[in-house]
Formats: sequence, C-alpha cells, structure tokens
Amino acid sequence: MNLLQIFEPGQTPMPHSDENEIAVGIDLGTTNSLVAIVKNGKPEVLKDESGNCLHPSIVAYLDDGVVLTGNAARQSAGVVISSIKRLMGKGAADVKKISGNIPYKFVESDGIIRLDVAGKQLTPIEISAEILQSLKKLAENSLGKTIAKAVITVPAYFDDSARAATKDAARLAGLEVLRLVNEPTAAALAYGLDKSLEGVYAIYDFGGGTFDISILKMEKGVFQVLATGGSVEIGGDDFDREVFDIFLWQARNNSGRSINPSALEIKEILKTARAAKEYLSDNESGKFSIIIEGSEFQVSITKEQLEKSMQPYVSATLDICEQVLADAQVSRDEIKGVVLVGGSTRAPLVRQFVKTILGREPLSDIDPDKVVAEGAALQAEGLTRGSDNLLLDVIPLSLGLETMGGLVEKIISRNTPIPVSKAQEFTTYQDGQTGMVIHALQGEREMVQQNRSLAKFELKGIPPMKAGVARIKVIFAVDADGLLTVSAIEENTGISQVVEVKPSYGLSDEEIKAMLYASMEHGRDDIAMRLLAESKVEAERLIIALESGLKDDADLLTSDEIKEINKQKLQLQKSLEGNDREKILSNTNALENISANFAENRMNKHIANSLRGKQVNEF
Amino acid sequence: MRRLFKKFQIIKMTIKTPHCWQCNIEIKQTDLFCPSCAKIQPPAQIDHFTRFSMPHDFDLGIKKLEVEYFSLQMKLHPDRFSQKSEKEKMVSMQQSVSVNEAFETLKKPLSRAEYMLKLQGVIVNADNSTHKPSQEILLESMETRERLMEANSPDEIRSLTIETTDAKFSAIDSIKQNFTHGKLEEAAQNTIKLRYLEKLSEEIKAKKI
Repeated sequence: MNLLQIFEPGQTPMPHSDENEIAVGIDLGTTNSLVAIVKNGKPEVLKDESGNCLHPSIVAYLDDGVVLTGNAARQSAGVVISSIKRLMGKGAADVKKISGNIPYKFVESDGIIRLDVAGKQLTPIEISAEILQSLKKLAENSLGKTIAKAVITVPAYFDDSARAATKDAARLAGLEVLRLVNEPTAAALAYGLDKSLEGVYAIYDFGGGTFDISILKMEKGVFQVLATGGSVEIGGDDFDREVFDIFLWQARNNSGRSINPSALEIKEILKTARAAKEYLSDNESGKFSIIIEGSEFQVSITKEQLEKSMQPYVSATLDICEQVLADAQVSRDEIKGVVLVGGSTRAPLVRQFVKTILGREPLSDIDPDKVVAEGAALQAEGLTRGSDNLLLDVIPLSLGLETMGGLVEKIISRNTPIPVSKAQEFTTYQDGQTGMVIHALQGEREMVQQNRSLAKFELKGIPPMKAGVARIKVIFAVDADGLLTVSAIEENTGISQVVEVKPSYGLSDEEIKAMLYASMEHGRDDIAMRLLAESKVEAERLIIALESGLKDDADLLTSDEIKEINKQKLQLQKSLEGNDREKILSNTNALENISANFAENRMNKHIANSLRGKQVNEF
Repeated sequence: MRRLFKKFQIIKMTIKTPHCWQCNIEIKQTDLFCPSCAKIQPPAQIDHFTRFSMPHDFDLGIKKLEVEYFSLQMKLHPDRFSQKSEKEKMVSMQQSVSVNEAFETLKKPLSRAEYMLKLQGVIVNADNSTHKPSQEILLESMETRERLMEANSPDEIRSLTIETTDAKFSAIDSIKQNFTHGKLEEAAQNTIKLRYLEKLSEEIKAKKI
C-alpha cells in the first residue's frame, strides 16, 4: 500500500517514467484548441463526449465561481472570454494598441495586465491555464489515465514573453511541457511522416489569430527549419470583423439611423459573420439575419464583397512570404510544395493567392485544423518513447541589447538554429562607473522603443575603473523551446549575474507558486469534483477492460457468470450517470470482485499461449 | 613540498585528460559519450572543422557538411534527452549549441573564410582586426555605392545586382585559390572584399524604386 506523499505546489518530483505514461500533443489555438495522442504509431485527435475534435478556446466565468470552457462556455451566461492567446505575453502598452478589438476591462499593475472578470482579476496566463486544464481532463477521461506531460504548440512568430507565458499556463494547469514546438514545424512533422515528403517545403499557416510561414528542408528524418516569419496580428478573426462591419453598415442603412448593438448582440453578429464567411467558401452569395437593439435586420453579402475585404490581409501574408523566402535563401523553383495549415486556408481566395505566389498547387490532404495537433502528438511520442526523427528549429526574431543612445545591438539574429548561445563584450562609458544596466530586447528594428523589451537588470559592483577598461561579457542563451536566459559577467573581476528572462510581462516564480496555492484554496470544492471525476475515470477504465475481455475470452466464463458480470456492470454504468462518488466506488469494487477470477484466468490463458511451443532453454 | 607537488600533478592531470562526469573513467577529449557508462559528455574544445571530422579546407562541400551536421544533432540534440537527468539535458544543450555554432560558421563562404583566417591569427572582421581593406577595395566600393545612390530605374538596379553577384562568386573563387596556395595576405583582402559585396547586396535589395 502506497502512502500518498504531499509536496509543495510546483515541487512535486518527476514520477519515474512509466512505460505506459502518455504525453499528449496540444494545439492551443486562438479560436480552437485540440489535444491528440499517438496510437499504434498514428496520431489521433481526441474527441469530447459530444464527438467534437475542436474545442473552442473560450472560458466563461459564472457568478457562482464556476468556470466553464469550450462549447459549454460559449452558451453560458457568464463573462465569456475568447481569443486570450492574442494577449499572451503582452504588456500594458501592447494592450492599449489592440484593446479596441477586445471588449474586456483591463487592470494594470507593475506592467502586468489582468482582466477584470466577475470581480476577479485574472492574467491571460490563468485564463489560458483553464483551457489547458480542460484539455488535460478531456484526455484523461478519454484515456482513463492521468496525463502529466505535453508538447504544446505556439505560433512560430511568438516572442520570448509569449512563449514563457504559455509555459507558465501549462504549469498552472498541472502539465509539464516537454517542448514548445512551433505550429508550422509540427504540421511539417505530421505531413513529412504521413506522406513521406522529402525536399524543401513551405508551410503556410493561417489561423484564427496568427499567421506563420516557415520554410523547411525535410531529409531522411531531419526537419530543418531554414527560416520562419509571420505576424501575431493577422488572422481569420479579422475576416469575421470585416463581415461584421459590412452587416452593421447595411443594417444602419436600412434603419436610416445610427443603431448600436449591445455586447451580447455583437457576440451574436460575429457568430453570424463567421458562418457567412464559411458559407461563402462554397457559395456565391448569402442572406443572413442579425439583431440590433432588439430588432431584426436582413443583410446579405457576396463572395466578391468578402474577398475584396480579405484582400489586404492576404496580401500582407504574401509580403511576409517574400521576406521569409529571401531569409531562407531559397528560390521559388526550389520549393517542392506548399502545405496549408489553419482554418483560414479553407478560403478559396487564400488558396488561389498561395498558388499564384508560390507557384505550387497547395497540399491540404491532412485536415488543416488537425494537422498541428497531430504533429504535436508525434513529437510528444518521439520525446517520451524515442524516435528516428529530429526537428531543428530556429529563433523567429532577433535578440539584442540596448546600447548608448537607445540603439539596439543585435546579439543573435533571427533564423539562427536553436539551441544557441552567444556572447558579446561591452565596456563602461564613464570613469568610475560601477553599475551597468543590461536591457534585453527582441525584434528587428533599430531603436529600443520599436522592439519588445524582454528584461532589464543591473550588473552591480563593477570596481571603479577608467571608462572603457571594464570588460563586460553578456551571454544570451536560447534553449530548444526558444526561451532566453541572459547572463552578464565583468571579466576582470568575475562579478556575474544571471537572469532567466521573464519579469517584463510574465509572472515570477513566486507569483506562480502563489497562484497554485490560491487555486488549492479556491479548489476545496474542486477537490470533491476531482475525486468524483477520478472515480468515474477508474470505473470507466474497468468497464472498458471488461468489455474487451468479454469479447475475446468469453469462453472462460459460464453463462451464469457472464450474466452476473453484466448485471453488476449495468449497475455501475447507472451510478456513473449520477454524481454519488460513494455509490460509484462501491459499485466499482463489487464489479472488480466478481470479475477478479475472470481477470486471473485470462492472464493465465495468455501466459500459457505465449509459452506454448517454446523450449525451456529459450527463457 | 612533496604533497604540494602531488596536488599540482593532480590538477594538471585533470586538465590534460578529461574524465567522465558520471563514472569518472578517463575518456578522450572528442568522445561524445562515455565509452563505459554511455553518458553524454560536454563539447570538446576543438575547432569547427575537427568537430565535423572534416579537413581544414575552404572548399569543403556543403552537402558533406550538412550530412555531418545532421548526424551529430541526431545524437546530441536536447530532444534526445527529454526523459534524462537535468545534468544530461544541460550537457546535451551545450553540445547542440557547439554543433549549431560550428555549422553556422562553416555554412557560408564569408564566415568560413573569416574563421579560417582567425585560426591562423588573421583577424579581418572586428575592432582589433589585423588587416585593413586595401585602397583598391575602398575606392571600388565607394564607386558602386555612388552608382546605387544615383540609380533610379529598375534596369540599373538589375545590372548592379548581376555585377555584385558575379563579383561575389569571383571573390569566393579567389579565396579558394588563396587558401589552396597558402596565400593568407591575399585571402584576407579577398575576404574583406567579399564582406563589402555582401553588405552591398543587402543595400541593393533594400533599395525600392
């Protein structure tokens, strides 16, 4: 009998890697999220109880403290939060820029933004963690085991802050991140393995809230990213808003006055706009009805109108393609094919543009919504069980330091393969200077203000020397997840400092720990819920095992025994419909007891089978 | 005195011959894995060519380099150690970083030439450079830059692009010859020239008409 061990939050030691332990692949999308595993060498996206593979990345906070996610959240009455991915790793200044598009109240403290949600102030990390937690639960329910490890995908163009935020969200959700993998790279892995692609390919990934393009060379199991680029500001959501504007304009024209939809109506109209956008993929025009200020309006849109409004966004993606091709030093002729990823690549206009610009008929034989999750699952499998394939990825944006006059000195340029570590020497500019501010930045521009600030710290205690004598070596190290650590050392004296880049917009370890405690506090009721869920998982696992046993080895039982087992199974299934944990436990126990003999006999039969025909000396 | 001497010997030994961090047996500097316990070992202090077991040849064959690069990363990349101890993860990251750095340096003709010169004490690309550009290179680059500034038709840009590309190829060819014949001075000048041409290419690309 094992005693339960209790650990500080975040301190739980890694369990010994168990042969049967499963690591999942998670595509944490702006609009939809997916979770997948590898079964018998094939990736498989897991479905929820209603059979859905795509789970809306929506979190609803109800007044009574209940938190809902996915489809349940969409239909709920609470404060509903969507597209939280767009805020991952963002600071207060960024939010001001984009807040026009986000209908939430923000609270700002120490540069960290929080959303004011039903009286609680939540960081994007906590909200994202809810989505991850629900995906974790879904996988646990579907597989009947605890899931503790995951590969999570991020847009290739995610900067360091957004990557760190994603990793923190996973930690809060109780998931150890084996690796953050770039979405296009994951897609390439899924395609490369399934269709055995070889050569140079472009992965054009146009999702709900982000656009990425990566050029990869695939050769004998190596997936080498040559260059990547993108934007976290272009996505299919923009098309919805364009259609929304067209509808609103028509309704205002029809009513002859300036009518304004309520927040709830906006949500509904956006939903209609999205449906209209999807409808026009296969139709020339459509009529829809929307409700504003309580009255119904008939609106219509043609494919031509939609495509005209989409054009600027699609053109913007193609400018980025040009840049990335140049960075990869690959000409169009060298590209063997283009792989389409993301829901927005369903739009005929997008396909047509890609075909003209990249000169290849795009590939989309793997569902563009699922391919990233499948790639993530393959990578998770590879990392836990070993693999003959290797992903060699790059850093999407240059990393640098602030120097005199607000200029940025690049230390690691974009598209450098990771992991990477580079050092640069700096010196003091004043006689007797004893401190030096190290300000790490990410981006391609010349000036500090035009780039993203990642971290700022001060190297103190430099002994006073003449200007230019001190030798300060700053080392940037980027790991395989694309996360940066900065350290600085004064080489004459050996004074050093190391910073894991996090503070600017992320949460400190202390804050994460506090959140884990808090979630335990709030979670007393959760514990009951979790125990109930666990008892259900356990019961379902038993039922599944029994059913497959009965199918294969019914001959080991008398018909009376079968009847008995089925009766108790039915009893257990009935109790599973309710929420009485005690009843489920006792029924599970009862079923376990009456089937114990059967289980033992099956075991003996299989051992006997596998021993049959073998000589003693083979053992 | 004897004890001091003994101590000194031990220190010297640990510097000269590396030992496996896990089982402490003596290993070769270039061993990637301990021959006894199979644990991954930190990167050896060797030059980039030796890391890929390739000769110090400017004309190294990019395909061959790539094959060596992939095969080393297949063994050393952190993805191979995701279920291993923290120490092994860290060592694998150091190894992978060294392999990436070596590949990035040798991949492109310019950085490869600069690196080969540096190995022989000739520095052409830093503040403390030992060689400055010749008068001829300075004049030539000033002229081309003027032409670029005054260029105002796509045709002019196109011919500048072609000229620069040709000049780059010929500089690379000269560097190859210089290294084969051991002419370091000429190699240094041609490398400086190649750097100017690379920068010029960037500027031509950036110029919009």
